[in-house]
Amino acid sequence: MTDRAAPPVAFRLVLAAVAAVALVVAVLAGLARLGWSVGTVRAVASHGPLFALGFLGTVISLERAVAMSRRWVWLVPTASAAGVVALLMEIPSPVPAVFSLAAATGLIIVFVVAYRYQPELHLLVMGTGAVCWLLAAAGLVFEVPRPGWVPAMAGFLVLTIVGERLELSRLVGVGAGARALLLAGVTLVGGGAAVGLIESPAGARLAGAGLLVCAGWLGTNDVARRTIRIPGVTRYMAVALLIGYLWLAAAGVLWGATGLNPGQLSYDAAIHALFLGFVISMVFAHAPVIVPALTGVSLPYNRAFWAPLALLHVSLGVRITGDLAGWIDGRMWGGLFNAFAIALFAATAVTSAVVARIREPAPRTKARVAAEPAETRI
Amino acid sequence: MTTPITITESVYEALGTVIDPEIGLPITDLGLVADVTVDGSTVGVDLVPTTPVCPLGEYLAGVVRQRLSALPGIEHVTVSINRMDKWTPERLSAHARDVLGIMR
Repeated sequence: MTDRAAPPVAFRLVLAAVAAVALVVAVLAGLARLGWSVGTVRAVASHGPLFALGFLGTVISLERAVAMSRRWVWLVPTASAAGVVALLMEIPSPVPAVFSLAAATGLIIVFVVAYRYQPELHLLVMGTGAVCWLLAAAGLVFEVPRPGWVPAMAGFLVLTIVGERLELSRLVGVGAGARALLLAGVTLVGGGAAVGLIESPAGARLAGAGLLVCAGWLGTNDVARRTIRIPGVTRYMAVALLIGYLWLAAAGVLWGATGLNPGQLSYDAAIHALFLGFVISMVFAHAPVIVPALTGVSLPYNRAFWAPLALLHVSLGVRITGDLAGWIDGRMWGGLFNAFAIALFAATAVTSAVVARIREPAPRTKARVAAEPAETRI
Repeated sequence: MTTPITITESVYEALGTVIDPEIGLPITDLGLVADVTVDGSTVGVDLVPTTPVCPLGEYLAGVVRQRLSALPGIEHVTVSINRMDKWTPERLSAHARDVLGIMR
């Protein structure tokens, strides 16, 4: 089927802007939670859902909409973005979470459709991630106490990324043993997401075991181990990915050991090893490719991208050391520099895009040509 | 004067400069180019994504369109992303296999 009815680039930019606002508010809410004075921040209580479901749910579903290029798929990021707007406008619960639930349902349908065309394991893994999004949103709709829905939020992001990496790992081949290990990890993460809604510590421990297995699988099978030899943006991406896998393993250990107890400092360490160390490192890795694909804005790689990546991981190390050692200053300053790392990355990206535009002022016709969506047949 | 044969050659040459940033190899080596048609000054390129849910195809299509539009003798470029066609590792070139360290 040919579908050339993709929405205009301006619509993509609006959705991307809503996702960016969700990230900014989530980061400010995180700083407020750490004890920094950042003025009046809305949605402090929704710091986690705003980051994992609002920001990343919108971005991930936007990626699928761009890839599939079918008009109905655009309802998914639109619903997710509507949930962000509802939350920021302080529309009472459960309305924002219901939008997120609708988006998750839509994303599951996307994977069912994709699987019909290509019945591949990586689509099943990513689809399981979408089911985890549904579970997390359901937990919010039915007001399951925190952190019951946290393993489901983690499952959404981890399984989405694991599925994407599995897909690329087909380049170098994945053996039967590696597939079995991967399926064990996915089952544990998915099982932890479901169990967590009923019995939070047990779900967190189960998911923690799954995170550890997934980290082991990624660390040994990911194509990034080979592409790290290729200089430039390819090496930058590979390094960001491989460091992220170390944090994923650390998160697995912390989740398994603590069962995620929000009353302890180790909770902050367990959560942010995953959502900053692993997830944000993945975002930093893929931004030079994904931003142009989603927005049509060229974002050429340059060596400056290494600075926010290094700052993120060093400051996260300080924060988590502070959490685990009861060193409150280290926790607070580490957290502040985590936010600076994200801000520095955003500034580097904007500068890169502007400098590229100045150095190579493309003729208007060429610019239109580059932004024009490709024809899609599916 | 630019002949059809030289246009076809220059199209393939230009496609070989489009790099998949994540893998660091040209899309021609990765087997992402399924078909190229040259009809006068009109060029059509069919790309095959490695999966139907990856947005990278859109990024690569943009780069392909830019590179080909800059070639002399080409006035119109159409890039299609064909998700009906399934990518398999057999599409990798010998060069890609060498760089990725895949046993043949």
